Amino acid sequence: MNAALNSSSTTLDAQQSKIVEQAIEWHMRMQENAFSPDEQAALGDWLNQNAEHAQAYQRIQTLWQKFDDVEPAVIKPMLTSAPDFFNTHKSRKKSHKKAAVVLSVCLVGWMIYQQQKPEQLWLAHYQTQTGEQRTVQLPDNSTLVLNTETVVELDYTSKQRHIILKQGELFITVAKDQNRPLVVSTQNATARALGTQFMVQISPDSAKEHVPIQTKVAVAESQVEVCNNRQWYQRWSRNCVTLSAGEATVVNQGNVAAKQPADVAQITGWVTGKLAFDNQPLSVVIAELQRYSTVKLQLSANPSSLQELRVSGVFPAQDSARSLELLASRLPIQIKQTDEKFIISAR
Amino acid sequence: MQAQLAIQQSILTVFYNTHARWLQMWLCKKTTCSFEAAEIAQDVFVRLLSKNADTQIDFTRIHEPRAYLTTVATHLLIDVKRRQKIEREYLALISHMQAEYVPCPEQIKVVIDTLNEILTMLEGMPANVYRAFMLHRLDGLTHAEIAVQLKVSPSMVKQYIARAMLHCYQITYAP
Repeated sequence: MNAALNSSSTTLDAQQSKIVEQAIEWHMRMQENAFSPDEQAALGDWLNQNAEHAQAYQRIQTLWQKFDDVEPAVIKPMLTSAPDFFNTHKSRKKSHKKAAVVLSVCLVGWMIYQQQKPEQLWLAHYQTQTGEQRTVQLPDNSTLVLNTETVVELDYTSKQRHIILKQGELFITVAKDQNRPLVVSTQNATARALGTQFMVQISPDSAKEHVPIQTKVAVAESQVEVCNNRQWYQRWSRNCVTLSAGEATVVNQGNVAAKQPADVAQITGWVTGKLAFDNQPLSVVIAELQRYSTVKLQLSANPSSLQELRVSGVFPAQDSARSLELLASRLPIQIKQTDEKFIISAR
Repeated sequence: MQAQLAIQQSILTVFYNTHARWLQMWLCKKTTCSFEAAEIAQDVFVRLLSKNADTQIDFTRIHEPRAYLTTVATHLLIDVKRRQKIEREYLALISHMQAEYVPCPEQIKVVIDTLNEILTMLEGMPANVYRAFMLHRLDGLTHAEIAVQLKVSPSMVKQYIARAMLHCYQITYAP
């Protein structure tokens, strides 16, 4: 019966295996660093030697790229929730004596695993619309505030409190829990609370694919460790910065900027519905107000000096009409309201 | 050759007549005895038929047909279960998404197919080979970084990754 089974499979023979191994070798060298013209030529020679070479190489490329077709974030949960991958196909040749020992070890191991395995406690999804702000009391008594157009996912286990900021901006007051670190992660950064109040913001709109995003972290109280979040396709190494209260940093691509003093009260003013600006150009202020407004705010391109008008003051986040009124009362501008937009032009 | 094929097919017919119902009952115990059991039982024979055509598997050498049939059925069952699990988990995942980001049914099918291919080819990989490969491919760690995590030498990591790719190749192109 075994013979019949074996004859049914088309396992690679020694010659084929060798070719596939060579193809893998080429592929891995290519992955490690860009090829010089000489190496490129050598690969070309090898591929042309034999149709089987080219086929094996092509197949290796296909297999490798298959992992690119689905986001790692989608693949990973499938893998981690399938620990049976680690257990299948263990050698079955163990003698019975050994089997008993292995079984008891396995049992103990399994019990330890069961005890240590983080228990999924809370999975949730929160989001806000344009102009909406929302305060959420989390199951661990932390308080999460979502700013306009924000998407947050919560993944609480018995081992870790993980908050995933998919889009927008959040401010969190973290309840102390020595045993469960709280981590806020974005596509490119992670911020680990060391017991604290802090803000995380992604810009631009991270929902658009392939646009490099920027994550900004500002700390209101205590300390936060900010690290870049490496993706599988990126080569940079991990680096981290620890922020104290009144400091902020920006993670751009893989780069964590040095920490800088920041007016955190101003940056996190939105939490209380106030947008504070200190000597900012009007274009920046309008762009900021736009985040909270479903109505388009259009700043005239002429004269260009209009964009550069300086603005200082506090504006209500929830009421863009009122904010514009306030602006018009201080600056030489006028506001025209049409059906679908506000037009801001020089007076 | 023609006569040989006829013999093979008549053996398969005998298998079918003698064991098909038994196989379905056996599958009933493994599943919840839904239409699944009947479908998989059917697939077992379809697969044998195509194997016979492709690779000239010699049915005359199968002395314990039921053991053989259950082996094939178990593989099919694992395939079916894997796919169901992927479907379930992926649909749960996208149910959290904002409506505008939820992929259309065609895309969902493509993703599930791809995930199925990926998980299939990872199956049965030795633990360390698997870990090294995943850290490299999904997390983008370098050989040196993986070496630290797995407490082996970087050259070992390189071997692991090469072995992982060979494993994927074998499962995909020479099952």
